[in-house]
Amino acid sequence: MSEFTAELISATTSMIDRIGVDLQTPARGMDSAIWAQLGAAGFTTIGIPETAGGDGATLADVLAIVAVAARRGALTPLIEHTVLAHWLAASAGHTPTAATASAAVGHSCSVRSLDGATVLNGTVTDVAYAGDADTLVVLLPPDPGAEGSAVAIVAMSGPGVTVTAEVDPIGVSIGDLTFEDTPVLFHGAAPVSLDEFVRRGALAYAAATAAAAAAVHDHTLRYASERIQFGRPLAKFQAVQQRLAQLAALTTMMEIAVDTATAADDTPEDPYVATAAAKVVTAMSAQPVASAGHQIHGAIGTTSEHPLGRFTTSLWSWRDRHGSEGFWADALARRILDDGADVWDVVVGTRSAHDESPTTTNRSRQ
Amino acid sequence: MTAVRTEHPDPTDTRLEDLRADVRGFLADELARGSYVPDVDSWMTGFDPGFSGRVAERGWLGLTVPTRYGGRGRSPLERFVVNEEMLAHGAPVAAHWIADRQMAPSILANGSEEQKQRYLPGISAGTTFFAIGMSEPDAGSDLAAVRTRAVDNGDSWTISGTKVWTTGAHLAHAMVVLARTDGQPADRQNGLSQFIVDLPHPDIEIRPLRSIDGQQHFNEVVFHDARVPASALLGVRGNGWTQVMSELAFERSGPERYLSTMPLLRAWSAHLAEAGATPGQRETLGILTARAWALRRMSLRVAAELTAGRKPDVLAAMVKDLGSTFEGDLVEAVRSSGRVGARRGGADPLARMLAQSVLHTPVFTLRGGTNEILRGIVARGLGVR
Repeated sequence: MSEFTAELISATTSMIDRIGVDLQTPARGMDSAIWAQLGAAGFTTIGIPETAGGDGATLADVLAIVAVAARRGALTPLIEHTVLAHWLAASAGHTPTAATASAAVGHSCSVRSLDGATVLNGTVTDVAYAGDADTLVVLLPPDPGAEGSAVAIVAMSGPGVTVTAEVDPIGVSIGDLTFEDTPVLFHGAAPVSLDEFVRRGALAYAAATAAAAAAVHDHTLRYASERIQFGRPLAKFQAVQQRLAQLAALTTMMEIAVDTATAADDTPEDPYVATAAAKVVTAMSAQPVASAGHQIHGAIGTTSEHPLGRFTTSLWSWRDRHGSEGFWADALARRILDDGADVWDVVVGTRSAHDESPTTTNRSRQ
Repeated sequence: MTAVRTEHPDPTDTRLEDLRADVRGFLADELARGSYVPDVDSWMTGFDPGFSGRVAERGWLGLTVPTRYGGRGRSPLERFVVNEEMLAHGAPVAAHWIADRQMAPSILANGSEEQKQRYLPGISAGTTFFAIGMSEPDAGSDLAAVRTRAVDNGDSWTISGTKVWTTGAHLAHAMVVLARTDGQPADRQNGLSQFIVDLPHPDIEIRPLRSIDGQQHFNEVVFHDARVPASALLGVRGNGWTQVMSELAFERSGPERYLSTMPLLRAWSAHLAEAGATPGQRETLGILTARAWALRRMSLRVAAELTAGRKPDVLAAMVKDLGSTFEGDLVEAVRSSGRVGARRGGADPLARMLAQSVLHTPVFTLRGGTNEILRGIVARGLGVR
């Protein structure tokens, strides 16, 4: 970890601790005060390539902040706004001024000219923080047979925008949006493929999921050591010790998988395989981790005011974002069964074994 | 958390990938001339001294042993690459496995100069094979309960007692024995010592134990007041427990703890590629691939920790708990989502490997310390035990 990353983590930690997090479940919504502070500190627009006007901070730096926030239960649109929307806009040469942006893939969206203006039509689904964001950055994948993605940016309050927002299991806004001749704030070509976008989102949510799992581990270990039943702490019962050990093994595996995938660009790891595998193991470990946490906490952990719920509802929400374990398992199976790689080569997972393959572009079904 | 951050191991710089290609070339040649049939759990069942000798000729045994003892003086990562390729291809590595994995580092760490010169060149040449005498009839998971005694005669030791589950003792040239030299059974971990005993020995009786797959992997080894020279003591008298525990860190985290059934996954995957796969089979294949990928990274992290001279015993226990569970899960996933019935000795490699895997699955989570014991080690690392 670089000194810069360590400083970011330390600054974010003290910022969150100073403001405090209301951990009741369901959440009342995003932590606006923390989000505003992160914005004022300039942490919500980092991680953009220097070629696109960024500050040199890496994706690993941003994901370190994502993990700190997730581990403390702070609900902020860091992934939607910073990791995805800002990066996507910057890759198209645009710097959005939004306070809160979200990002989506516009599979069924299209732009056209109307009375001299460019307008967006179509629907996007499962947009996190849909009810909080003021701006949406939409990736428009190329039409079949065509090449090159485009980006359209719209104001959520613009004409022709219909928002159907509900909340996810945490209590955070999530919704679908429909655009009818909505004027765009920006429209331009972007050198970002659909796969690249989904992969970046998947890696970010794998990191957030691993951090939420680590929080469940920490809370559960502490509770088991403090809670006295039958005259001794729960942690002194062998059955509980075994469950705690399994919980720790899973959270350690999640952490190492995410760590490896995050560093993949600087190592011989195949980044696509690394992200796919990390997303699979984090998503599929989410329920065993949540289950162990709740079982050891007993009924108190299921109450609204208990902090555990923040982290288990985070696990249940985030494991499905940007592809469940089933989606990414199929991506790995595609490498083996359709592209002809040996399963063992995928496990070894080095770039030399299977170079970053453009053939997978446009084949994602997200 | 236990996942200490370390430098990312770089398993794939050109040198390592060249080595990997060499090993694959060797295995392809061996397969082409019919020297072996790929099998699951080949590090326990594939006993072939000829094969081990040819591996040694290529310079792939004793890789991390210093050259002055006949080794190759190479890095643990190079050893990792050679071993994982052997396992993934189901090669018969059982003859040299214990000697190379466990005894070489143990003798290097604790052995006398005489022991190093006596055993390490043979281990590196693929001519000296080892067995491990730890468990006893009344000391399985409770290893500190060993009752085998070694009595000090001044110029020699007399060993009496019984060891069980001793893999390959009937074929090994030597075995390492954990015995009580001092104190009473109630002293538990204190007063235990390790010995290296040459085999065969007139007063050591080796009785085969047949397993549920019909084969003899294990033995019961009885020491009838067997006299061994004073020089057989390994390391420090009374320090046996500590020595054994550090040995187990090597034993518990290697690629054989999650790759024992990889040949089955490869055979099944090749079958699917040819016959077509249902969406459910695709998902199963992808999930198993991802789990193996993650376990390999955990295992590499342990290797990096060992290389850096740290003691990753908690992380090693986690790898073995998750890894050996995965080996069995893989078998069940392939069985339940495939249409191949298990057949012992069948002509169809998939059916044959499936049968062998099913029959070996119970042992995966027993050998090298049961998973319950391993979780106890993790719990101690968490500070709750």
